[in-house]
Parts: sequence; C-alpha cells; structure tokens
Amino acid sequence: MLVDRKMDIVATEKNLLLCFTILLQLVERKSLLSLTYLNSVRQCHSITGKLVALRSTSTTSTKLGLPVKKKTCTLTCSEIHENNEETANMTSLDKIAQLKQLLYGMEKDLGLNDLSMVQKNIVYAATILAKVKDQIETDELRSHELLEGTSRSSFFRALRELVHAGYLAHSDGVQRSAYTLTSKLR
Amino acid sequence: MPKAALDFTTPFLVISITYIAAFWTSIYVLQPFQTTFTPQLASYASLLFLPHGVRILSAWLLGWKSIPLIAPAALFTHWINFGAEGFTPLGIAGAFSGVVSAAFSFWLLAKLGMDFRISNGNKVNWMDVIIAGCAASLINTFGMGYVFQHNTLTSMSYFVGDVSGLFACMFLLMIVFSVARTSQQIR
Repeated sequence: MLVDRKMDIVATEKNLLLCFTILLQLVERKSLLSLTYLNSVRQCHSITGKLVALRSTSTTSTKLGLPVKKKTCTLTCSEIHENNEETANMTSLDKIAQLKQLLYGMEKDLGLNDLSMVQKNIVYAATILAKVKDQIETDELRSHELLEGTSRSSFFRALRELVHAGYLAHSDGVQRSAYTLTSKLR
Repeated sequence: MPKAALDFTTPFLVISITYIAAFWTSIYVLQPFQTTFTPQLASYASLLFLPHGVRILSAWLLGWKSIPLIAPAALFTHWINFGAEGFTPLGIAGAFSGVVSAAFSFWLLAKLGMDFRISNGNKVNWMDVIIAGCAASLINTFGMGYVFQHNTLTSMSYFVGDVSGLFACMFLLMIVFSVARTSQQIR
C-alpha cells in the first residue's frame, strides 16, 4: 500500500532533524510529507536517506515569521514505515528532540528568547550608530566592534530576522543598503 | 555491544549520572546554605531538591521504563543519605517512593483526562510537566509523611523542595540548550 502522505514542516536547517523526528510520529495521520526549510534539500537526504525531492518552489513563507525558501519532498508509505522503524530505534534522538521542544517553549513563555546574541549585538550597534545619523548603512553596522567575529552569514541572517520582527526597517530609495530604527527601538 | 543493550545502557548512564550529580549538588552544595538559614528543617528535607527534576523529566520521557533506570541511583543516594540503617523494608519503600510516584503521576493524570505523556503524541508544554511534578510530589509527600510520621513542616519542605527542584532543573537545562543554540548561531 503505497500512499503518499503529506505534512508541512517548517524548520531551520539546524533544527530540521529534531522537527523531523517529532513529526515522523504524526505522519501516519497525514497524506504526504512536505518540508519547508531554509536552504537545501541535501541535508534531508543525508538525515534520512529516504526523502525524495519531487518539486521545488522558490515561494516565500512567513510561517515562522522568517522569510524562507520552500521546497517539497515526499515519502512513500513504505519509506515512512521504514523511517518509523528507524524512529523507534532512534529513541535517544527523539527524547532529546522532545526535551528541546519542551525547554524552548519554557524559554519562550518566560520571555527569554526574544533575540539571539547576534541579533542583540546588531540592535546595540544600530542604536549607537543611530545617534549620529538616522540611516545606518549595512557596512557600518557590519564593521561595528560589537559585531567583530560574527560571520557574514550569521550577520545577514540576524539582520533579516530583525527587519522581519520589526526592530529595523529597510530604507527605501537609497543607493546603498541602509536601515533605520523602528519605533520598537526608539 | 548489542543494540538493545546500548538502548538501555545509554539512558541508564545518563539518568544515573544526572540523578547522582543533582543529588550531590542539592545535599552537599545547597543544603549547607539551607541549614544556616532554616536550621529547624530536617537535614534530609532539601528546599531545592534537584533530583525530583531528573525523576519527573525521566518519567515524562520514558514513562514506566524510567523506574528501573533510576532505581539504582535512587538506592545509591538513599545509602549515601541514611547508610546501611536506611535499608529496612520501609526505608527501601521510601527510596522507591519518589521514583514510582513520578511515573505514577503521569499515568494518574492521564486517567483523569490530563494526558501529558509524550508517547501519545501530545503537544509539549512545560507547564504540564510542572503540574505532573506537583502531583508526583504530593503523592510522595503524603506517602512518606504517613509512613514515617513526618511533621507538617517537613512534609511542606519536601513539597517545596521537589517543585522548586523541578523548576530549577528545567531552568538549568533551558539555559544549557539556549547557550548551545546561541553558540551555534555565533559560529
């Protein structure tokens, strides 16, 4: 009985494996498994060895409050059962996933996870730079000493998330990429 | 090593080491402070009993299977606390009481319509685990109080210690996961 099963998973690459482990338990109730994630489907292949990418779209989803590229993968029923058996054997990973989710919920409810370390440093640097001029250029922000040692990808990811969360606003009509503080930071 | 043995050994070692470490911290690090400020409490009634957190989280993750996994560590810490004299039938029952009540509370709450067990695909919520921890502590406190004729103050300190220990345990783990996540982001 090969029936495709579907389910949406929204995850960053780093948390994909943990989300996938939890969602595999629920997959029996759905008809086709689809994954929405940030970068590539290659990690899925390496994680499960079973996922088959059927189609790929470049639509933007804001389910997590973050702009993400969307791709869809499927698992056949036999593969799901195989994976469920793997899940049964993957108990330690499953437990860690559940524990991580529990504690992430606690962190969220206690209001301790608003911003990551890089995001906080960008906010601090932007607040300092905004005292001199309203529009803060990306290069100025990037070269601020509070952000020394932050990798380029982490910086831009954090910056994008801050814009999306409404802490910074992209300035329109300027030649170089620039941002202004929103009312949240003023 | 066969996979079945590995499946048992890994959680057994993780739980045992965590339980003993939590017990050691509660009794040898926190207890001296407590004795200074509240000398009227019994020396074995910790107001921040971290092992309760280990018991509850293990019971939440593993259900009834957590009992045989924690039992050796529970007996070991019982021996540290009370020595060979603690190994009377009642003393051993007391040592097992906390361990069994953790798994039992999840089962009992499920029977009462509040199924917090992960095995049933329930949505994860940390408050549910705290509620189950309170229930387990109540069962344990009443049981121990009845058998060992504890006074009200000792029973209350058992309950407060268990619940605060559970919260502290979860909070510590939360910080650990949070720091790990932040360091990943920085890299």
